[in-house]
Amino acid sequence: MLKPLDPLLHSELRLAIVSILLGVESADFVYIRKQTGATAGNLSVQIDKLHKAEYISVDKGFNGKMPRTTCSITPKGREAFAEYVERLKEYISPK
Amino acid sequence: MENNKTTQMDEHRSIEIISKMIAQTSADIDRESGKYFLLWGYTTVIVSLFEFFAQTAGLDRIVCAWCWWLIPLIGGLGTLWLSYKANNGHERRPKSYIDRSISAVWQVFGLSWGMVLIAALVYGTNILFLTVVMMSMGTVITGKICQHRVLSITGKISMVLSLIFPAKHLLVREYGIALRDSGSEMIEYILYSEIIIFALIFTVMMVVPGHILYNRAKKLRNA
Repeated sequence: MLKPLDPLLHSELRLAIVSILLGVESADFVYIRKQTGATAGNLSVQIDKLHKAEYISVDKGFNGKMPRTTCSITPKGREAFAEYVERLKEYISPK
Repeated sequence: MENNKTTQMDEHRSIEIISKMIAQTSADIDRESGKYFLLWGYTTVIVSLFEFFAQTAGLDRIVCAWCWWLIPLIGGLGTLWLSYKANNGHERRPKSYIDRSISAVWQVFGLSWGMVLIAALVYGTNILFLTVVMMSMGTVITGKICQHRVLSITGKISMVLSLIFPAKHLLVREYGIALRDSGSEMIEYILYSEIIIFALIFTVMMVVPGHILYNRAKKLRNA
């Protein structure tokens, strides 16, 4: 029997956010928005969900007078992503 | 990419999203590396060619020597501008571990090259050979870190090409005096030609891979 996929990651936008953060140390909110093509409101909500699950860490600061939100993946998020990919493999080629 | 699509997402779409996002982010990092290679490559080539024409035209030697400083000056200011733009623009590009490693490598090479330059000024020696060897090493290491074969290959080719300098020195030492005694004007060009060789090696080492990296990243980004 196939194990269920992590519902938190099995969402287009949240999966895209985690995939972007996977290969970098940190990424800016504006950069993630441009990469994913999501609206600012929707992106904020999804980032918040990932943050609450401790999959990503969010750092809010300022660059001069401009507010700046920087996200980075946590070890827990990295682990969850690895698990998600493993289960995905089982879905694609079940034993 | 809206969240309401989540429930219908199948495993193939998941793979597609993961691959696309990873590829795009990596393309952005590559494009940035390409810019630095183009900046330093073109600066070195243009200043070298200017040096060649200035020296063959008989411009004052002291003025010519000072012109070499245009390379670190333009390259250094350009690097500061590029990194300021990348970190402080509206859309700040992501920071990666690879960036940090490459930046550390080039800081060390830049500093070491600065020491070599100071020593060369004191001893009055030619540092074209050492510059090529050091920058080739930096290029090969960068290629290994980013896993870009083109950088590793062009770096290694440049390292081999650097042997042209001692070979030319040997030839000039053996046959240069005979040529000069025969009144050949070619000797001046042979003596200055190492600047052209230097520019050509930098074209192979930095300009060519810089364009390849930049264009490949651009293509991947637009795919």
